[in-house]
Amino acid sequence: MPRPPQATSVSPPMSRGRARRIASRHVGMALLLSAVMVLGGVLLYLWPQVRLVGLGYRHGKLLAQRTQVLQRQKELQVELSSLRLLRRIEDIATQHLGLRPPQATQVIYVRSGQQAVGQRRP
Amino acid sequence: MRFSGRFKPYSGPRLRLVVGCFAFMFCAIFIRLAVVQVFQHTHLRDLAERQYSRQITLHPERGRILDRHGRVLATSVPVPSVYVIPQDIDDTDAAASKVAEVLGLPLATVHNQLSAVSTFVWLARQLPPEVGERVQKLNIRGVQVLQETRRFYPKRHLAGQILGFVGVDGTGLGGLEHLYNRALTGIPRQATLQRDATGRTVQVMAGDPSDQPRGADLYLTLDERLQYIAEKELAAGVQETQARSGLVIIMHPPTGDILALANYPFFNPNDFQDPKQRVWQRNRAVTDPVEPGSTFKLVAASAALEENVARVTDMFHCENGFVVRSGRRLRDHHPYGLLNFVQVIEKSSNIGTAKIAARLSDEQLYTYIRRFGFGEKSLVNLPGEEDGMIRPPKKWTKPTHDSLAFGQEVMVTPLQLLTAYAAMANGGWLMRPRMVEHIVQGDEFQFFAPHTRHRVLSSPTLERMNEILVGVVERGTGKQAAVEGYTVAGKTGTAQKVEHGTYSHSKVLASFVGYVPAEAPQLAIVVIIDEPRVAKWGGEAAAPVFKRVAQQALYYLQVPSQQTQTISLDTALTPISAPPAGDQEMPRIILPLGARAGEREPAHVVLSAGPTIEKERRP
Repeated sequence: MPRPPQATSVSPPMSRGRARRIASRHVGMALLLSAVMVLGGVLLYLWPQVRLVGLGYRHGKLLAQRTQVLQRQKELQVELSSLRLLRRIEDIATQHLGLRPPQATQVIYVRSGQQAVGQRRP
Repeated sequence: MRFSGRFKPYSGPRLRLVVGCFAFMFCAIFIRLAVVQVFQHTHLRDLAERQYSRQITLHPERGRILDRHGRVLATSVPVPSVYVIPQDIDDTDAAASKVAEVLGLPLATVHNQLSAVSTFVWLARQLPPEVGERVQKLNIRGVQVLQETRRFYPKRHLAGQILGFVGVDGTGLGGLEHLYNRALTGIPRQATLQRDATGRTVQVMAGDPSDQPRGADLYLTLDERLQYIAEKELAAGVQETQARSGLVIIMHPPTGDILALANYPFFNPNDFQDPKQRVWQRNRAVTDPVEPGSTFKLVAASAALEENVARVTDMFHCENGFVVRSGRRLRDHHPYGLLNFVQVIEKSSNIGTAKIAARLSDEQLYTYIRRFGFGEKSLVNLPGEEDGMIRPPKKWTKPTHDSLAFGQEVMVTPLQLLTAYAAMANGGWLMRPRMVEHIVQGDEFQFFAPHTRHRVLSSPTLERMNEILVGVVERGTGKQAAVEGYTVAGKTGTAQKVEHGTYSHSKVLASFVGYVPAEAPQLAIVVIIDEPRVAKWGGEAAAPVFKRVAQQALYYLQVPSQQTQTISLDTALTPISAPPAGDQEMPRIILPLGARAGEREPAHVVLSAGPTIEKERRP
């Protein structure tokens, strides 16, 4: 027995208001998506820039610190050189420690292998 | 989705209007963009760069001067300087009083500077760091602190005349600082920085500001310790003899390296502006030629032997100390009769030497004088070197030949004199003296190799002259130059100074030149004492200084003396159980382990007061 034809439902024509709502929802979605993408892009672009600026400041500070430390190192080197004044060392050795240069008979040179004894390069 | 009716969301006059507006705006933006990015690109980029970028000039730090072992003799240190921008100062009176107090300057002077009609005025330069900090803490608008570099000589007067000095603007004005100013100064470099609105550095755009350029480092042939020995003993010698000034040079004969060059009174380059010191800032070893006196007898004697016009056994009558030759009166310091060639030099007889020289022609004598390097610059790398003076034979007068024989009518620099004796110690080869060994600029290395000029004498003559010069110290006028345990060869000299056109009887230049050990010379040394008042002869004033300098220098250089024991390494490493009976002190053993190539200071093993062997490296 043939089946009776199935009734097909035909949607009624869309009202203007509904169409506008749907269209505006789509446009809104698209705009939102675009805004998010633009914002994301901007953030992606700005983040390294901000990071670069931050690192730049830090670099500048470290450079200044480095200059200060180098300056201090320099001062200490100069102080060290001054402390190594031979007159000062000789005074300490002879006057405070009571040292004196050895006599020729107190010095013994040791020959090591083929090396010429005492022929130190001036 | 279907739209029905009249509604068409993307059409209609309103949409067209909006699209048109947008299109117009975009066109306008695009056109503007094209104008900005393409047509005005260069101009705008320059404007922007000027606004946010800053180009700084990195002035190189002046290079250091170091001795042959890398010990610093001259370096630069950062120091604060204070400047003012007068128009930025709000309250001149208040600022002047505060600044004057901190800087320790008269109030009127500071006030004048602060009220100057100028955009930039230096207030005080190269101040101690703490003063700079105090000025900065005042926080006065228009009064700024700037970091400059100042030349500093940590060893003070050590080698002061050689190093020279640097002016407040960083330019070398004397000595090696002047001669090598360009190398030491270096080349300035640019760096570009990005800055923010407050002027803080955001980013380095070009160049690395942390990579501060530097001038070249100058490594000298000088040895700080030998220089110290020379200066110490020279000062003592000058003071003992109550002399006016003095000079010591130590040279290494095989290379011509100047190991020490001391001028007394000293010159401290840290206080180069001190007017008292200015007189002594010249390096008289090369700038002031002098009449050498008897030390010059070397030339006539060796020339006579080399030309075979005299033999060491030849006898010369010294006229009992006085003779008139070629219209000139010749005197000896002591009356001598008949002396042989060797004795003439040992006893430093002027008359005997004149008679030896008389066997040479004028041309021969002149040739040997020139061959020893007199009358021309030695080309040492030191500024202000003089040629000396020796006239050609055609300009000689009758007594010139005799005068030249004992060192008159000729002017030589102390360095020329030493170089001539160093040639005797170097197998007859005359070397060019060397003060700068090498220059290091970053990765670049410039080496000044030892330079042999020519051979002065043959080996047989050298041997004979060596024996004669040893005799001078053992038996002659230079006995006080003898160094215990070493054989010294040398010659004394006592040159009368010229005063008011004639030779002075009171003012002399006492000198001793020699080398040691005579059998294998390691050092050639000249000592000159100017106008000694206590001991006037070279053998009394200069020879003792030579002795003390040579003794300490030989010990420092570990040149074994005849008294020094030499033992094998095995013996040295054998533990000593007990000190030898009767010996109060254990011997100090210095063991050179042998410097490897490139090692500047050899390592040592020092065994002192006991069997423990400690390894140490010389500082």
